[in-house]
Amino acid sequence: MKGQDSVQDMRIREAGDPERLMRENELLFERVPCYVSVLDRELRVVRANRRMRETFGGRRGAHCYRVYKRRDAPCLECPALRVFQDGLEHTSRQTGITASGEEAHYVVTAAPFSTVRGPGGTRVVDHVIEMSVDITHEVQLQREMLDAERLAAVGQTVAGLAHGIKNILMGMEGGVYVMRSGSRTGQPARVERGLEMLDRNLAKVSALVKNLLAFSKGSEPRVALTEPNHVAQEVLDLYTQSALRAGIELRAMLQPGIPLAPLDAAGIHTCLANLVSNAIDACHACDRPNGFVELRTSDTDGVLSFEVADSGCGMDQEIRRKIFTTFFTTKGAGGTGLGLLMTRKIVQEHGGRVEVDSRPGEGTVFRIRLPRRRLPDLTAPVGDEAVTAGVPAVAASLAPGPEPAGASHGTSPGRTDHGQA
Amino acid sequence: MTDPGGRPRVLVVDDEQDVVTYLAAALEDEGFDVATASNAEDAERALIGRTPDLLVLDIMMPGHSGLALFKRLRSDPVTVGLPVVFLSACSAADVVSGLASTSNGHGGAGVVSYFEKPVVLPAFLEAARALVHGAGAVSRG
Repeated sequence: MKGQDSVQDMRIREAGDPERLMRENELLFERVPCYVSVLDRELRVVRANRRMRETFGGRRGAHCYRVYKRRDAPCLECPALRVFQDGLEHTSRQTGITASGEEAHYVVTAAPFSTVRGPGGTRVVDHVIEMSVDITHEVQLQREMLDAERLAAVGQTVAGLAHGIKNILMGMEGGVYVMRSGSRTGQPARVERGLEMLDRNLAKVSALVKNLLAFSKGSEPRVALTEPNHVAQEVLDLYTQSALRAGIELRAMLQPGIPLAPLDAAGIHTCLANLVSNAIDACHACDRPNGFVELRTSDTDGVLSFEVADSGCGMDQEIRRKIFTTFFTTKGAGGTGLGLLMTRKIVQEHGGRVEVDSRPGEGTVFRIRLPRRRLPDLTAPVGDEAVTAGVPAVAASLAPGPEPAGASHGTSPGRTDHGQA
Repeated sequence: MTDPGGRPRVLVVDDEQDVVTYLAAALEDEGFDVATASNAEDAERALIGRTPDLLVLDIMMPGHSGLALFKRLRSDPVTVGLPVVFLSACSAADVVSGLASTSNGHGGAGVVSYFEKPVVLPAFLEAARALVHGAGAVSRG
């Protein structure tokens, strides 16, 4: 076989020409395309290959931290020092400064190079070899990608915000037009209608700003032992009437006997209210007979789950991809595009995640999965007051109510939706 | 289908009630006979048997979008030439790309105009008049 021939050939050459072998090894050390250096116990560079010398400069005998990083003392996580201590191989990621003053990122692996007999006859490492692979290009690419993603997110947010504000502006301009024309033609009822339009759109812009602030700041979760089914029931009670008015049946399928769980009841209430409100809207928009929304709870295999299923028109892949995007809404002017984003944020604060099953024409299931072992710690003393049978007053003000947008919600996200258009 | 009093008929479709109220008032003041709908499905029902002279159509609405309704209208011989004014809070570029993907170029037969919200009312009314009187072309506001 060819491979065996090559090995044999090399053995012959090794045996036959030790000087040539030494020259080859020297060339190998010099030309290997990474930084190679040998350090003594004082971290002085006793040998460095060509790539290392050309990139970092430095004279023979200089401290490695001086050569690699222009430092006056050893680095905090020095792999060479660890090798001197335990005689094992160590790898770490470092950032240095090249001879031309540029940042260089590299992954360095340090290993024992030579040993001497120490006190008591044990062998100790007296030289370490360090081999570093330059990853500066990869790090730069990674940074550029992150920057691009950040810019895209900012652009998306600004575009979404502009979209919402344009709708509100048009409502305001409409209010002014209707009021003026009513005044000009002597129609008090029309003037009144124009004023109502102005009022409504002022409330919308105010709610939008408050929601933005609430979202950007986040709220301190108040975690207390909570009965999951009670939170679910509160949301069901809140929406039963409005669902009925829309011709949609709101069903409950709550697993009995779910134990207390450390939850931010107000936050979970907001999540469920968002999902139920979205589901009702999805059924309403779909206009199918016998529409229903079902809120389910379960607690199996250490995972507490809330599910909201609807018989609406479902979502295609494109919409599914966008639903957790800031300001994305399918509800036209009726949505703020923050509902699902807030839901995901709250669920993540509970150590859980939001899953979506949906296909066009087949309805949608949103599932909040909260592994119990990852639930947050209690922030209130466990006592009668801490056990949340229902939802504290704050929950009602955070949750989107069944009233029309801009009605009287204060900090409410207003109407929510499948991401919201 | 102009009403017996000679007023051109327009159907305004937008899910935002204040936008509908605003444009309906302005178009009525301009002498239009105005009907309204708050979504694409209601609009389609309103169009059955009574084609207006002009359709003012929002693009992003719950349920079917304005573009989806437009596509259906363009495939129907009765409404294929119906003049349409699109409204959108999206940028004009987004609307144009949506139109291009909806049908061949700018919506096939018939004339189309589009306005970014909030609309400049005089320009919007001028476009509405021009489209109804057959002087319209693809335009934007």
